[in-house]
Amino acid sequence: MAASAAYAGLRGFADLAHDVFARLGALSSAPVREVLARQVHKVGVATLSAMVIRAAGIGTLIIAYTTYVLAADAAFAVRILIWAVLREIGPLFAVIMLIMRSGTAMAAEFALMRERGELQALRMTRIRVLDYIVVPTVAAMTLSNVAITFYFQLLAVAGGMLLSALLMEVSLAELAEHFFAAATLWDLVYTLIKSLGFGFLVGLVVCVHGLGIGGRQAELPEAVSRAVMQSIVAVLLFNAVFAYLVFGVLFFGIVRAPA
Amino acid sequence: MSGLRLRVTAPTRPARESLLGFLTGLDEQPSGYWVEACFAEPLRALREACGERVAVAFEDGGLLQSLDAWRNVLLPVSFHAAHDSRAARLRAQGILAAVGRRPEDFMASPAQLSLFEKRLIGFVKAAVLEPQLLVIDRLFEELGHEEQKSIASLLELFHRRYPLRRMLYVGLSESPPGLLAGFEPLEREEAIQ
Repeated sequence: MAASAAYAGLRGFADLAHDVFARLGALSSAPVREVLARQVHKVGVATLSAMVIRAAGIGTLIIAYTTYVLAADAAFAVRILIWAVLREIGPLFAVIMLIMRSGTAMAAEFALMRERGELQALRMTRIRVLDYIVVPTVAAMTLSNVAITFYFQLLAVAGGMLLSALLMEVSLAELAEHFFAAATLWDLVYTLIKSLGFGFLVGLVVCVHGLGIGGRQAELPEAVSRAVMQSIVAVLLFNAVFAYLVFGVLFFGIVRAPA
Repeated sequence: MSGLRLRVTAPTRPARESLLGFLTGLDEQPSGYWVEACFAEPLRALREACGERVAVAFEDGGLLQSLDAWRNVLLPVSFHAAHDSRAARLRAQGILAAVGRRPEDFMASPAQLSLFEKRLIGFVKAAVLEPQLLVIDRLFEELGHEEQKSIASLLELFHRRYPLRRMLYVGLSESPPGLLAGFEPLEREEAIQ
């Protein structure tokens, strides 16, 4: 019973994802672009402004931890910074911020629109909710998450190195040299794919629970709560599957891809 | 389908919603006893006669809170892109002018408007689409006498401007006499009467 419900849920998300891709052309319409711009602005302002200190703090913490606790040299500390911030913590931290700051707000806004009858009025005016709300929201979440992730990484790496240079006996030039020697284009591609996937998934989940797509007509508090919880689950699953596809290992090496 | 201006009083809210859902094409079949058994045929005839060109002037305006009221008016026009948006803007200004209002009065969020203003903007939003069937969703109810007269004058204006287009007034209670002069009752099916 639970398995079939989970399957139906996943199938619903897959169908919605397909519909979103199929209707991306709706973004050429002026009112839809307006919604896209508004959502990007809302997501950006809400999330980016909350990031500066946290990002720099995480960068410093990673370098300080590897240098003092693991007694590593500056080169190793920077390699850990790249691995953690560029590949794992950066995209995850950014999407968690996106879910907490913007995902909750959007799910609540959509649930209110549903309760006020605005969605019904849109449908009766022959304005498809998929075109007018879902497509721009998913696009806005996806694009914003990429921007947020790179912003977070920039702040974490730059802030981390700067603060480390001030607080520890390592020069900024030395840290920067190690960074540019160790970072590769692949790190950026890896981050880009992850942040696109994370943002897309969060956008879908927020729309499904906020707008009550597929018969999920929950009350406002429940819609927000479900949107947050399922967004986190979806992001973690995507992260695990992506790591498995890229590195061939899952759950700290317990599951390995066939040779 | 005899008259071009029709009226019907729905016994309940779900009945009204079923009627609106069917006329706007949201529901393929009329649902609920009242709509299905009493008015299915005349409603089907209305839908066939008007196709997709049906617009509803909602009881609460049907406005999005995320847009200011004036942009709500222009949203369907710009979304469907089937209308000349400049001409639609002028039509909307003309309708507002008929009741002594200007677009500048409606640059605020719909939440800040009175019920009459919401209905006025909702009517303008529907009328600028120049629909073949304009469904008027209980616009007279819960308004003062002067406001009701303003709405009645707008309905008259629409009828004069588009004499061959249909209007259907949907109420939840009988409207005061005189306001719907010229509106004939929607015919119930013979077998039910």
